[in-house]
Amino acid sequence: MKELTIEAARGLLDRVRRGDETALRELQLHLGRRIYAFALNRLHNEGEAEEVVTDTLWEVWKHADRFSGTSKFSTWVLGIARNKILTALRDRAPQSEELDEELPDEGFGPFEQWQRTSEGQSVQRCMEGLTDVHRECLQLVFFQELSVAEVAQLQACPQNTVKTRLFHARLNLKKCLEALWSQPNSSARGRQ
Amino acid sequence: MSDTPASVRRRFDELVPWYVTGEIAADDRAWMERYLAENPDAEVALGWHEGLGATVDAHYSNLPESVGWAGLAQRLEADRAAKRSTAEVAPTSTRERALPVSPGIIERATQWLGELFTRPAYALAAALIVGQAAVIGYLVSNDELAQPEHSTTRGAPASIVPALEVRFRQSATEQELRALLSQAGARIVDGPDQLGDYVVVPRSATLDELRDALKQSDLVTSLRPFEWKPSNKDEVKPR
Repeated sequence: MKELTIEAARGLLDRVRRGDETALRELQLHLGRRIYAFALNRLHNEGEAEEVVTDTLWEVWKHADRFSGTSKFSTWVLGIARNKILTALRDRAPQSEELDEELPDEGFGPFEQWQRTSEGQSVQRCMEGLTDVHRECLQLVFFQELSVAEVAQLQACPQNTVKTRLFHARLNLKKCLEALWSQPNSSARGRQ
Repeated sequence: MSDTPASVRRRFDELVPWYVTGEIAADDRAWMERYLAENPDAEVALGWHEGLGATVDAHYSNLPESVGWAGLAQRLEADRAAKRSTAEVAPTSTRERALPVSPGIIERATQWLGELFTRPAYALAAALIVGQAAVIGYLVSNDELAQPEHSTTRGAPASIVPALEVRFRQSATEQELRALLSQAGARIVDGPDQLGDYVVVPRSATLDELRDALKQSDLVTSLRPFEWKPSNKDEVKPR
């Protein structure tokens, strides 16, 4: 995932401030999937996750001048998305979900559809077995390509916690893959 | 304290994901390269992480590219429509002011009014209507004077309302927030913004009482005075 440089982001935001709708489209193409993946991981609902994408980019459209340039552009945008996700979770009634509660995910949820499609299906299936925060941590590191400090900022935890989460995420993935691959009828043995 | 082989390996394990993605500090990168050169077996772990990174990336790259655009396009259209309707009102009224009123119409109205007041019954009815309008106008203005707290909601220029900007603990639930604000006698008027801050105003308490109540709550992580500018549609009843 190619990160926009601060200069490129500023250029895009200047166009947004002038009301250039093609700049908003560029932002959506650049960040839409990233925000969606981030939101879907916590919300487990495609409609709500898409609404988070719309709400987040709309806020960027309306308040482009709030980007100070002290962080990466994507970190700033994902920070806005995080608050939209929090709001969506809080709006759910009855409230029973704690953001940082590390409960195992019991179902395969919305990732199920991708599971069946690619050669990395074993990894994907095992990713589904991770807790939300562990999976989010993996996603922020490997897909969003954020540094440990940026992940800590988004997950609202110390950097050491990020390292521990990632360590456990990888360990659990490895265990899950070993268990899957040791099954006699396993056809998903794609990666070593 | 000198590094043990276990602690060195742990450092490698911690850094390897960011080494793979390139999001690593220069000194850590140099350390990793030294470690990999000295420990060829670590290449296996590196390869595993590269594979994992590629799979995770592929996993999310399958998501629809246009996600969220339909909603954005709708909002843009709604925005454009709102701007158009605002723009259309102004030129119309300007044009109306600029166009000369047809003399025929004026003449006809003057003639009609003249005829009206030449008939005593119509003149009496017209006088009654004017009188009633005056009484109603007087009563309405008196009612407004008697309820000054509503004046801020009736199109008057928005004034600054003393408020508080509050940041809640990330794990606070909506229920907890509502219970706290209800107990403290406050209500949310804005937020959360991108930092997660809410703006709250007193409802059944003074600002000082509200500040004290919120300060004591472990749900609140930061609190500061805020000058809130309500729009005309916001209902505010300052104490």
